[in-house]
Amino acid sequence: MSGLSRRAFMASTVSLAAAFGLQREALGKVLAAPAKPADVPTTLQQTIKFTAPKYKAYRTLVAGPGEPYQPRLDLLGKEPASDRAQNRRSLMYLGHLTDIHMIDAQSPARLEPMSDMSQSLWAGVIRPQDTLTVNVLSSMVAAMNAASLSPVTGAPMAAAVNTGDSADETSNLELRWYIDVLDGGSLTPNSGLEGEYQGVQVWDDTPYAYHPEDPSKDIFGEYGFPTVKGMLKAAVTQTVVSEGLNTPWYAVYGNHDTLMNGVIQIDAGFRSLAVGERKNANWQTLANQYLRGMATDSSAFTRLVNKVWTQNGSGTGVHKVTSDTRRNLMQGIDFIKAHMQTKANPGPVGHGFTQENVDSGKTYYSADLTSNFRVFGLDTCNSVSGPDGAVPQDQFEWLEQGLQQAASDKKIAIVISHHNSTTLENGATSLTTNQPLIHAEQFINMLLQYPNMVAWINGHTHINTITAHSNGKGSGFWEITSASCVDYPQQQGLIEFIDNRDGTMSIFTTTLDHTSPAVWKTGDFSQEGLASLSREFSANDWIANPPMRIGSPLDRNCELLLTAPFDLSGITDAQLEKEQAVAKARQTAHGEGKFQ
Amino acid sequence: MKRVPALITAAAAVGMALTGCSQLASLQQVSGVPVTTLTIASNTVLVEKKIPVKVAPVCEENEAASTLECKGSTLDGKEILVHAATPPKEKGTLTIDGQQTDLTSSVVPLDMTITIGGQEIFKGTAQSVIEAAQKGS
Repeated sequence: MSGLSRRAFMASTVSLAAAFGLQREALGKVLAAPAKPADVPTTLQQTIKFTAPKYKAYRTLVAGPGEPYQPRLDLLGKEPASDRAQNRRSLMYLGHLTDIHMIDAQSPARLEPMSDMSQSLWAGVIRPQDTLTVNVLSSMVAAMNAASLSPVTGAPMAAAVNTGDSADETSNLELRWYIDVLDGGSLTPNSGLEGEYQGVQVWDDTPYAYHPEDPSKDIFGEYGFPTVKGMLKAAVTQTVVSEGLNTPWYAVYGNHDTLMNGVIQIDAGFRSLAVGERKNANWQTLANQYLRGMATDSSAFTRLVNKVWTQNGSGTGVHKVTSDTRRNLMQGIDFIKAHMQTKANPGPVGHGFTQENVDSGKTYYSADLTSNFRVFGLDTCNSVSGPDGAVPQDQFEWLEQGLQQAASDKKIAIVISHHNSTTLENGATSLTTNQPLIHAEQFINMLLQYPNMVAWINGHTHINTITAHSNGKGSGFWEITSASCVDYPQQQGLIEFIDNRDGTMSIFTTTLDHTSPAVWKTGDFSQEGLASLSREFSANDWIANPPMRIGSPLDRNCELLLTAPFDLSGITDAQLEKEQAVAKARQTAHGEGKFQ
Repeated sequence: MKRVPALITAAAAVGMALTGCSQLASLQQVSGVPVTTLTIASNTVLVEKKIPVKVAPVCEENEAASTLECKGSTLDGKEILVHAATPPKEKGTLTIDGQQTDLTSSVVPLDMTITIGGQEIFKGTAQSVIEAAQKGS
């Protein structure tokens, strides 16, 4: 197949220059540059490793060697053609964000004290790096932009997908921060009292929390966490500037966008707690508050009790903090509505959700990322209870119909969801609804019926994992699970779909570290310095078993082979070049600040 | 004085009342799941030993036998077998760098053996493999 003719190339350049407000000549040079593997900063060039040799001791980090691609033949079942690299062409290059866990660490509705009840049972309710999530996400956005030309083919990134847990505690403020960082701009990640941190990391009665000013009396100090004076002040007073993603991005729900801490329903008590001026330091008072909330009704008496509690607390283990109405918790379709309040470029407004979702309350969608790829954005979250998920029957049927339609439209299908195949067994149902839940085995078997369904991209477990799902006939689909922005290794993913022009496809996966330095320099409280410190803290959050979360080499930089879903020669080079030109023009416009 | 025990009872009831007893365990993070640990460690060993893998080992827990087993294959058709005993539920210990140390509940040591075509290529603990793979110079 030949690419764009000279005439078509010129016409494309003229129209794109006009559309994005770019100089025609300069854009022409960008578009005319030959496609070749881009020398972009990824884990192909440099990895990050632990320094300290002793297990269960505080460890700093150090730069390590790059990690090459590992071929995975699980689905193909044979060695691929050795000359495939000479013939291949990029069909689509995608960014993968997941489990961002934006945290308003000072919110009174956080469940930090529960870690004092059981560290392992309540893992994730508190981390040493809780105040630094905006810094990390901004650095991840920068990393994604820096890698927006493929390290395999040089193709420009067509889109990014975000597979949920964008907020941590269903807070509208956390939700807003995450969208604003992906959109680009500046924000100060603080709530409540201006210029000062208020919360468990400075109180004397919270030994379960890391106290960077003086960790000598907490469990983190005992482990070896350092004294880092000034960190909290810097975290809540410094403005973080994000360049914003330079590619359109699509989002789905995660369990932390649905339930409190991703596991329990939000009740009226929690809602009033979130915007009140009392914050719990011990789990007994917090649990009591929650049980009171369970009994909540809308009577005048209950409202009075809530008001009294919110204003006065219950004594022991409760601290007064500055209230902030921005901390209100999500309800209804707040998550979808927030995604409608975003920049049109790179957009899209709604980030996959549309006005139809707002009107109907439907929390899933499909969209064409390019003319050849259709994405199905699922909501696998259980709104009753529990961290894990399932696929409701109506959504399952909608997806199957959509896959049938995609097959008949000759579209390559990818599914994005928060939960993965090991975490789709939640059977909790509401007494008021009668929607059967579909679990992993049935879901996978259905996907396997559709050869055009090549990849299921997800998150949830905070562990890099790649799983082959075979149909037993030499094909199937790949499941790609990326880690998170909050736990070690704080990595996200790059995914490229490639036509080898020999009846096979390769999906290249590349793990991506955020741009902050591998080694944190003492006293570096710059935006990138705080992101680097966050990664170092996460590497020492022993409850999370940090080194395991990076996965194996077969879960990171890989070439995943499979039989082509259909005859790909029907996709012309000219069509691909035209779409890549749009993506390159968009990136150029973003780089020139046209989307500000 | 009556408040504390009442509150403790209340807290214990939170998870049970809301998620059901069986769901309470699911609050726990998945990083400690032995199957995941074993899969990661097995694949790490295979790559480090430059084994040409056709099908990466798929691991399952055999509760009846209190074992974990993984099966895969090499490009030349040999079977990859990984075997590990189900870890004890209580907190264990692990020896790394010659030091015996307590484990947190999210870390499982998992004594594992990998054979290819019946020949043993690795014997050791899964967590040690994972730790060593992340060690920089």
